[in-house]
Order: sequence, then structure tokens, then C-alpha cells
Amino acid sequence: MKTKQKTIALAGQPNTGKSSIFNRLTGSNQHIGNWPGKTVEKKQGRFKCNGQTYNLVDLPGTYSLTANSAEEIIARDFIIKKQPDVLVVVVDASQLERTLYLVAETAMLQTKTIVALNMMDIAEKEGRKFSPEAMGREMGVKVVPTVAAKNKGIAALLEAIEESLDNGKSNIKPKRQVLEGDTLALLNKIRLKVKGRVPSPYSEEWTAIKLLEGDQEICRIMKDRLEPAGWQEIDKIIRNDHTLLVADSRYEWIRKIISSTVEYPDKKNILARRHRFDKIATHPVWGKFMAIGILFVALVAAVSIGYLGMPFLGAVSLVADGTRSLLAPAPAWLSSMMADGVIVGVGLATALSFFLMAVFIVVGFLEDVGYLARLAYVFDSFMQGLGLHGKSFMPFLMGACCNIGGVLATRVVDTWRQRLITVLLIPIIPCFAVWAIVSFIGTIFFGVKTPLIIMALLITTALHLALTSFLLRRIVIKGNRTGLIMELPPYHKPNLKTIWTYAWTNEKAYLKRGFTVIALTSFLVWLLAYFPDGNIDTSLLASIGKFLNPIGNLMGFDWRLMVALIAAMVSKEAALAAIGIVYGFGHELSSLTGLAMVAPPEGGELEALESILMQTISPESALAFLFVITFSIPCSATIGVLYSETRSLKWAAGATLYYTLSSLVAGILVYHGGLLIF
Amino acid sequence: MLSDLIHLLSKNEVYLDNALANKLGVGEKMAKQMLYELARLGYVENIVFSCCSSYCKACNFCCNSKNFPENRSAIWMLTEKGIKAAQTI
Repeated sequence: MKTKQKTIALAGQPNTGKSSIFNRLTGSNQHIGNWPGKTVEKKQGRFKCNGQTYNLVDLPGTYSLTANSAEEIIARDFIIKKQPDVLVVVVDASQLERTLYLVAETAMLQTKTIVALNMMDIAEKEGRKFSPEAMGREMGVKVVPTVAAKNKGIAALLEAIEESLDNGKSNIKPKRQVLEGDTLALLNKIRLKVKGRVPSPYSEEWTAIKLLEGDQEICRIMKDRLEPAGWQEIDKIIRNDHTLLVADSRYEWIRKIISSTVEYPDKKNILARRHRFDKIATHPVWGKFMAIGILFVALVAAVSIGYLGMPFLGAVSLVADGTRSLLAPAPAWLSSMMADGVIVGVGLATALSFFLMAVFIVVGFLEDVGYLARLAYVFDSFMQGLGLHGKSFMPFLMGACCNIGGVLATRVVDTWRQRLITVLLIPIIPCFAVWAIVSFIGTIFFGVKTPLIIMALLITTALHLALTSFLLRRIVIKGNRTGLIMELPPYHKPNLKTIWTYAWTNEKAYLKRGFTVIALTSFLVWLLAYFPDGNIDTSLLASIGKFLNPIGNLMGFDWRLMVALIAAMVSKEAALAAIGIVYGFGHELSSLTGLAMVAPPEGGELEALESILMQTISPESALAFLFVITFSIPCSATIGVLYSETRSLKWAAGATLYYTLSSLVAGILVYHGGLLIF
Repeated sequence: MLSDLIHLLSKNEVYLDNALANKLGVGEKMAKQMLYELARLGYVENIVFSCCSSYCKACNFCCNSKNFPENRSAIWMLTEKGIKAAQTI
């Protein structure tokens, strides 16, 4: 008599090695097609063991058995409707926390089950120790350790399959998770409602659980089978979203199994040092001190590296002088345009690129070692004080690279009001270009005290942020902030190649964009400074600058510095080019030559520098200028992106006006404070 | 377990992922898996930040994170569904 061929189903989450087991068991005896009416691949095969032929069905890889996808519906329908003689659930031993979830689901189906504990080699490499017997007892099934990729444990798996098919061994049905409290009460309520109405082969209990989870297919089936009033009562229960309760009970089941059957490696020794450092680095108080210390060192490093580019200014001066000589036979305007305008502007932009490169290298280093993200965590309480959403963290950090990127990054903030406040606050964050200008001008005027000036700028920027946020919240924002979990990257040894690539990629982007904008701005500034009669004091630029004199006078600025501020509105880095042109104009680049002499220690040259700079810009005016630039009149591109992201002229214009006014107020206060100090 | 995590996230606090496991009294892998599960169910969302991510096209100054795949940081937050669920826990 011919006996019916036994069917074994193979289930498992994706990437658990299910296919490897299927291939090991069936070899070349397999057939690949599609599940009826679906585009999901169906793999079926045969294998022989002790003279008996078995039919093996490889079910689609599924995370769970809830009707979220075609794969999940196929897998569960096959288990429930086709009722395989044995179900082999493949789990990844190195990812038990995730892969046991499917076992928790199949346990509810009460099918004869075997758990293949696959990828044991990886788990053991990680130091996990298992007791498959104890795990089997906890789950009420046979657990077979396997390494399918190396053909290990496959014979034991076959043996377990045969054993489970033996009529005398029908006791290997899995233990289900225990539902308690509210979950059980709700489940019982639903069970009562569906009693006698559940179509075969579904069980009432499983159907009730799936209804509680809000499984769409089961809801549809039961809605059709129940009286409208009965369904309405169930619908009322499931509308309150109890998915979490069911998932909670499954995770509790998984936790119990893992905690009682798996031993984890003692990571204390490996991670002790990292944790000790991180404990301080992320401490609410010490972490802030450490962050300020690290930032200070980083700023000193950035200024020191950028300082190496100062001698370059000498070369720019030589090129400008050479151009002037070369173009001597040409019309005066052409010689002036090239030497006083384009070469000075582009030359200063190039000098600025040294400072920018320095900032990129330092930021790249902090990011590469994994510290940058910790800054966001350490200063969270500050962000909290600002009433900002957790998602505003990173747009702020990115705003420190470039305000445009920061504003665009606020797209991740989902509530409009929260997003609006973040967008409007981003321009306060000084971008890379600002830091490069501050380092550059600061080095000239304040020398080794520049890092202290930068720290003062950082502190006042934080206060500005707090004040503006307070004002904005009064006007536009209300609502509560929720918590968040931060995933911090691991610490790394700094990789010089990575840091260099990072810095150079950014530097290239600056050179590409910056040079176009700066060259154009330089040309425009020169044009306005040259016409109508070649005398800067009677030029169009002087007229514009002198028109703004009443404001400039409050900060000790002459009209030239006001022109530099206007250039900063085009692009921050263009401010420096404008300074070079307007102060060098008519002096045959004397101011630029003077800037180049900042480095040499010889007294005579230093005197030349001092006389040029002190005659034109006083230290208190220079300090006020740094504050005005840092307090941020937004650049034209940022204003553009403020408009495009808020879609409101009111907010874009309002923010521009507010930041222009606040930066001027800061400049006036600093100038008058400086008068008392210097 | 998952409800505890949602409750924790509903408080106005910031947790580090490695400290989360201790807070919940579970292993680090389990804590992480619970976050993934809540994300799958739509209660929390994972926002990955690498300096600049996809915004480089619009901004030449931003950091280019292509060379920093490991250094991205991420945050996990409650979604509207999660906030609603937290109110009933």
C-alpha cells in the first residue's frame, strides 16, 4: 500500500539561512515556480531519508504571520490550511531577539514544530553560549543547532523530523506565550463574540488574537461572518489599537526564553575603557565641560592650521603687482579691475580657503573619531531649554556646516510649528564660512587671543539662540516635546585618509561655488568703487557706504566696512574679498601686503602692518565687525531657502530683518564695550 | 516591555542607546530589537542623520557623508501613533 507523502514546511524570517537548509535537504530535487495567483516565488523539493520520501516546501521569508504582505499571507495560509506534517522554523542564533518572533507566532498555531537554531558559528563567535535542550524545554519543541552553510546539524535535523513524525512522539507541540491582565481580558471578550463563527481551519483563540492585532484579512473574514451588531462590538475594541499588547506578550515570551537559555559574553573588559570615557563624555555636567574643552582645542587647532596659509597673501600681492606692471600699457580701468578687483578678491578667497580647509579638517577629525554626535547629546538640555523638538538636533549641527543645508534638513521635523521655529533659528548658527572669516580677521587683530574671541562668540550665539527661541515660542509655537533615544556611533581611531577626503571634498565644493560668487562680487565691488571717476572716495560705492554711515558710526565702522557687510549678504566669504578691495584700492594693495605681513616677527614689518590696520580699522571696530558677521545677517542663499522652505515672504523677510537688526545691535554693544576695554 | 519603552520615550528626556538596555532591564540586542519592532508597528520612527545626508545637492558647503558610513548618528522618536499610545499606557 502506498503511504501518503509527508510534507515538511520550512519557515523563517529573511536572512536566517532558510534557503541553505532547503538546498542541503533537497539538493537538485527542487522545483521553482510561483504561488498560485501571486508573484511570490514558490520553492518546493523532495528528499529521501531512511527510504522515506518527503515533500519539502520553502515558505516565503516572513517576519511575522500577520497579513501585512503577500508573503506573510502565503506562509500562514499554508501552515493553517495545508497543515504540513512538520513545520521547521529556522532562526538565526546570532539574532534570536528578532528571529524568535516568528516562533512566538507559529507557537499559537499548534503545529508540530522543530526549531533549527541556524548560524550557530556566528553566534558562538560572538561569545554566546546556548543550551538547545533547555531552549527546547522552554519552547516545548525540539531545538536543533545547525550551521547550514557548512552542512552541520543537517543530519540531526533530519533525525528530529523523523522523530516528530513518529506517532508515538506527538508531544512536540510548542508552548504558547502567556497572555495576562488587560490583554487576556480583551482576548476573552473577543473570543466570546466570535464563538461558533470562526471558519475552519482557524481556531477561535488564534482568530481572536489576530482581531486584537487588527489583522486586516481576519477582520474582513469575521466582519462577513458576524451580525453587524456583533462586529460593531469587536470593531469598538480593536479600534483602540491593541497591537502593542499582543506584541508585548510575544517579546516577554522571547525575553524569558533567551534569559533562561542563552549566556552572553562578558563585554565588560572589552568595552570598559570606551564606557569609562563615554561616561564622562556624555555626563550631564562633566560632558559639557569636556565638550567646551574639546571645542576650544579644536578651534585653536583650526586657527593654527589656517594660519599656515597667511604667507600666501604675499604671493597674491606679488601677482597683483605683476599684473599691474603687465597691464601698464592697457587702459587704467582694465589694470585696476584686474589688480585691485579680481586678483585681490580671488586671492583673499584663496587665503580664506586655507582657514576653511583647517575648519574642515578639525570637524572631519571630530566626526571621524565619533565625537561630533556626542555634542548633540551633551547639549540636549540646552536644546530642551529652547523648547526645541529632538529632531531639530541635527539640522542645527548641519547648519553649522552651512545654513542652507541646516534649513533643508528641517524637513525631518514633522510638525509645522516645530519646523518653522527650527527653520527660523538656523540662521543664528554660524556656518563654516563665518568661522573662517572670524579666524582670519581675528588672527590679524587679536593674534593668540583669537580662540578666546571665538569662545565669546559661541557663548553669545547660544544666548542669542535662547532669546530668539523664547521670542518665537511666544509668537508661533506651543506644544510638548517628547523624549528620544540617541544612537551614538562607536569611537574610532582617526583615519587620516578619511579625514583628508572629507576635508578635500568640502574644500573643492567651496572653491567651486565660492570662487564664482567671490569673483563676481569682487568685480561688482570694484566696478562700484572705480566709477564714475576712478577715485574711490567719490565713487558709487562710497555714496552707498556713506549713506549707511549713520549706522556704521554707531559701531565705529567707516563706510568701507559697511560695504563689506553688504558683500557678506551676498555671500559670507565675499566680505573678506570686499575688505581687500575697498581698503587696498588706491593704495596699490598696501592693505593686502600688510595683511600678508602678519606672520613675520621682525619689528619693522609688523609696524607696517600695525600702521595700515590701525589707521583703517580700530580693534573695537574689528571686534564689532566679527560680532556682526557672526550674529548673522543671513546671506542671500539662506534668505532664498528660508523663503522656499517657509513658503512665506512674511517669515523670510521678517527673519532677515530681525537678524539684520540683532546683528547690528550686537555690533553696537560690542563696539561700545570694546571702547571701555581697549 | 514594549509599553515600557513607549512610556520611557514619552518622557521629555534623551537616552543613549547603550543606556537604554539597562533602563529596561534587558540585553542591548533585545532593546534594539524592541525599537525596531516599535518602528515596524509604527509607534516610533528612526531618523538617521549623517552630516548632510541627501542635502548636499543644494549646498556645496555641507559635509559629504559618503566617507562616513559608520559615523552616522540616529535618533528614535515616538510617532503620532506612539504619542497617542503613550497616553493610554
